[in-house]
Amino acid sequence: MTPEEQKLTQLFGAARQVKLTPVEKWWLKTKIEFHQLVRFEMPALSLTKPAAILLASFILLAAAGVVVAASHTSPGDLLYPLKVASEKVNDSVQSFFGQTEVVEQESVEFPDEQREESSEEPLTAEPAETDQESELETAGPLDPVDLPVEREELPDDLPGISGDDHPTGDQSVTVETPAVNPNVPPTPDGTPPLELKVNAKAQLELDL
Amino acid sequence: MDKRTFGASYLKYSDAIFRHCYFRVYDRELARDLTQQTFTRAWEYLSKGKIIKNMRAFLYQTARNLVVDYFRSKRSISLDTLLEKGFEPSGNAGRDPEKQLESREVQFLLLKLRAADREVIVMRYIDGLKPREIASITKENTNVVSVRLYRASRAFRKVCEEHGYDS
Repeated sequence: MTPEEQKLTQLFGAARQVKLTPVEKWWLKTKIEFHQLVRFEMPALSLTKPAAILLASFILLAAAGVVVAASHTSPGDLLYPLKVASEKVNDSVQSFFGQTEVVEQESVEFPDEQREESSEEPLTAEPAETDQESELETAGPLDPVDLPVEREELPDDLPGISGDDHPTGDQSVTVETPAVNPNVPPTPDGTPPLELKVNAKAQLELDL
Repeated sequence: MDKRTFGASYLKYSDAIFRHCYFRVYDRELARDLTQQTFTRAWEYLSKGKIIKNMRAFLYQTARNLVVDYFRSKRSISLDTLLEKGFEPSGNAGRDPEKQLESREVQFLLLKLRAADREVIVMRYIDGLKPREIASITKENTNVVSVRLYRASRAFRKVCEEHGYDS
């Protein structure tokens, strides 16, 4: 090697360090080996695409025909073990999907159970105190009052009298006004009739 | 050389073949593909029951033929075309700050040469092949190779001087 060549060789020293990374080397080796496997070791895979599709279809049809033929066999026949095996597979598949259906049904019934529980709650739990009831309890028995409205002066279209309207809680007190009418005779023990009526109504609402 | 020793040959020559392909096409991915095709063709040759006496020369010759086929199908590469395509030279693994050119500098300087000059420069100074080996690969006379090598070296020195490098 001449001095000129030695100089150039030294000049290209860094260029000679260019090489494949370990990952690139491994990947290239894998691709080459795969190519060897497909192209040389497994010549059957070198079929053209239509031929491969045709061959695969033929294999599938043949397999299906064998399974159908085995389903009509009886013990002692050649294909009977295949029938037993297919039945086992079928059972396992059915059991798998059967479990799936149960899970689905449970998931569907779950809201119904919730609804039943929610409907039972008012029956089993203590009745909650409403504001109206608490007001009645704190107010205690009502004193007899002289209502200025006379029975004869009541208008005809008053709710509850005509029957078209349904009285509400507050209006029911108005409906009870005949109980404190002076024309009604007092009770034998002398207690005011209005107090009894109101207390009885409050007790009735509490019971409800 | 037979199919049993093919794996060892891959480990021994894959870097050199990749380097040769890379400095010919200046595309790392393409150089990987050419390297793969080179070894695949060697395997095909062996699968036919043939014997390879000199695996190194066979691989270089196959790689060279693949590169020639590539250039026949594509236009010859130029620095401007590579830069337009986003060419980025591969970095080098080591550097001697006294004398060595950076790998990327070498790549740019080699691109200034004609393809024929670049080929013999790469084979001689990067691949480390002797003129006799180059002659067997290119199917040329050894003297012809020596003349080509001399002219290519002179052209490279001129390019280095033009770009401020003392070769």
